[in-house]
Amino acid sequence: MRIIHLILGGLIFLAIIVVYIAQQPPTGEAIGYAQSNYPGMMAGGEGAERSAPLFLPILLWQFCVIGLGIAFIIQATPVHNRTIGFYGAMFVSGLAMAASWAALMLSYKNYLISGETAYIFGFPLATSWLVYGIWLSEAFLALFYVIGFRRYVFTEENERAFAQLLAEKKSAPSQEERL
Amino acid sequence: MEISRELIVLFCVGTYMLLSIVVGLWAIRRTRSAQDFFIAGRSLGPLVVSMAVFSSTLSGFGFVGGPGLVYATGMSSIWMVCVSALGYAIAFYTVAKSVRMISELRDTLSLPDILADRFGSSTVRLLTAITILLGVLGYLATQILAMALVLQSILNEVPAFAGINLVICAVISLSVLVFYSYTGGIVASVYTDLIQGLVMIIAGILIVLAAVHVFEGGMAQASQVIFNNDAEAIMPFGTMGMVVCLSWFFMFGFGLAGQPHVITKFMMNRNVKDTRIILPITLFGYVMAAMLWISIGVVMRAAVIGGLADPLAKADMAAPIFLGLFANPWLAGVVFAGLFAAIMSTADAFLNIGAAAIIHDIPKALRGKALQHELKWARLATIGLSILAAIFALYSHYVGGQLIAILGAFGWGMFAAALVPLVVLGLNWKGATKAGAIAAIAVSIVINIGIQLLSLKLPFAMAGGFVAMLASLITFISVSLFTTGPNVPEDISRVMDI
Repeated sequence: MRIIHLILGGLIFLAIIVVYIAQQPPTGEAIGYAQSNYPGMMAGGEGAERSAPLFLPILLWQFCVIGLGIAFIIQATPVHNRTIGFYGAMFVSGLAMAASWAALMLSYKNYLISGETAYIFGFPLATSWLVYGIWLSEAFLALFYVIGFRRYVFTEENERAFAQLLAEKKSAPSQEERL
Repeated sequence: MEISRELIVLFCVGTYMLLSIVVGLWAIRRTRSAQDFFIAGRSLGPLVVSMAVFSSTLSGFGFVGGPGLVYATGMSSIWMVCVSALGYAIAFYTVAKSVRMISELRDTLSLPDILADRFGSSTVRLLTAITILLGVLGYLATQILAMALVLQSILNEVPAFAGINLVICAVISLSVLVFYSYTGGIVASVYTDLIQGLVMIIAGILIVLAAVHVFEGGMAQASQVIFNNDAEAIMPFGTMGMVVCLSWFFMFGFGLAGQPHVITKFMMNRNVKDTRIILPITLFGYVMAAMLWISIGVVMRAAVIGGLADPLAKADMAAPIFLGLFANPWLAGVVFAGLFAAIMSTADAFLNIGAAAIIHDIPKALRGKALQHELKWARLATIGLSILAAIFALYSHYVGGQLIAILGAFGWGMFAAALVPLVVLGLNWKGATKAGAIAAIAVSIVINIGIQLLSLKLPFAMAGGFVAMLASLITFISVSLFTTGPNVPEDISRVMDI
């Protein structure tokens, strides 16, 4: 099975989740309601009531999206650059994003059960996972791009191949008709 | 003598506009050909490209609409922002290198050029150009209206200009934008982006510092005030719930790689290796500027609930009211200049790709060859497009109607749905076919227009652009797997192996 088939499978799986969610009857204030005291300000209402039925599909939705993001990058990386180090970097990045997402959902669920939350760096714990955890875990991909650029993205061999292609193009203009 | 707050703000905004004009004058000499006008002759250094990429991504929406959304819906809209690192990473891994190499190899001027060469199809070129043009009109009209409204609100505070007409404000701000876009094309655009990006970063950092001091207990106290009023608002999915947040995450994250005004910037760096430096600088700039989105929104919501500020007449007033109440006048001046910077940097990027679609891509798709004297036509198209977008904007404002809203549907979500499959997958998968590309664009247009024209409300307020993007990605791969098309040209095939 090739990466493109995995991507198609992931997209179809995501579509199935979306269709499943779309068929669920909304519970509680599913998309919020207007606050009467403060015009223009919405409220979410009872979190547990509106979130509980969607918890599992939403969890899977985001795991699927994280997997798709990694798969897009693998698909775009030439086969000869996909070394063990590259796959390791993708695995670590995917794991970091998945772990942050799982931690966010777990702390949100704990809050919904207990009604209490700790505050970390200015926000409730679950929100801190969003503001800091999700953002920083994604940054692993950017970090690997910088560190691994000459190993996985544009190696010296790639650079030579491109220079040669340009040289060939200059010396013998392509016969292909430009559209 | 104490200078009034209004004059300080006016001075900062005026200085910024003057700088933009100076850059426009400087760029005239560096713009001698259509290649210079559209892609800056592929000669830009990494800092300039980085600032251009991030500042054209974060439009005025990030400075006004973003804080307004947090005020109105709590943390929901933060999902649009916190996906930025993943979005930029995907764009750089999957698109930046290929686009830069094909651009140099085939001497291309625009994204439709690249896609037409990749798929061997003038239909793909035409559809891509039309998609871009429609999206540009909607985006541009919104940006022009925003510029005029912000300038009007600033001038109204100065007694000498009180009651100034919106049309005059539109003419003033549009004149600055058109001047530097006309004289210097993308060269002026990216160098003004450099100034704009730096202003936005400084504004973002200073605003966070101001915001954490509004409440004695800092952001934690602001969060607690919101929590006590409506806990869901400060929880990770905000008031709008989980489904809409994740649909935004997908659309804004993966969709970033399909934004033509961003992709075009990838053609401009002087060599492929620079992308290694461009990604982290871009990301740093975006994160710094986007902190303004979060901090102003949270603090203003808490300030209104906590009685420190009156309820806002409109959520979009969150940033201006915050600046009036809690910021030093000079900081307010810098942020207002930053706001103009954000709007103009996005608008000039759209003017550029829109002009390319009109005078380069569409004629090439229909006639099989480009126009003669492209530089002259590009400059005229820049003026024409600006005037057309300004008419749309003012008509929509005064007469009402849904024109901008409908065209707006062709904005981010449309670009994401129509172009992500073609660039993220199409430039990296040799099995992708012309039929797949055409089908994906068609599906994305039909779904986006359908949702807008029929005023469809999707379950759980799911974003229409997300549904269109998911459908178009599935269509692209499925149709490509079941069809064959012209083989990938040999040189582009070799690029795809690199």
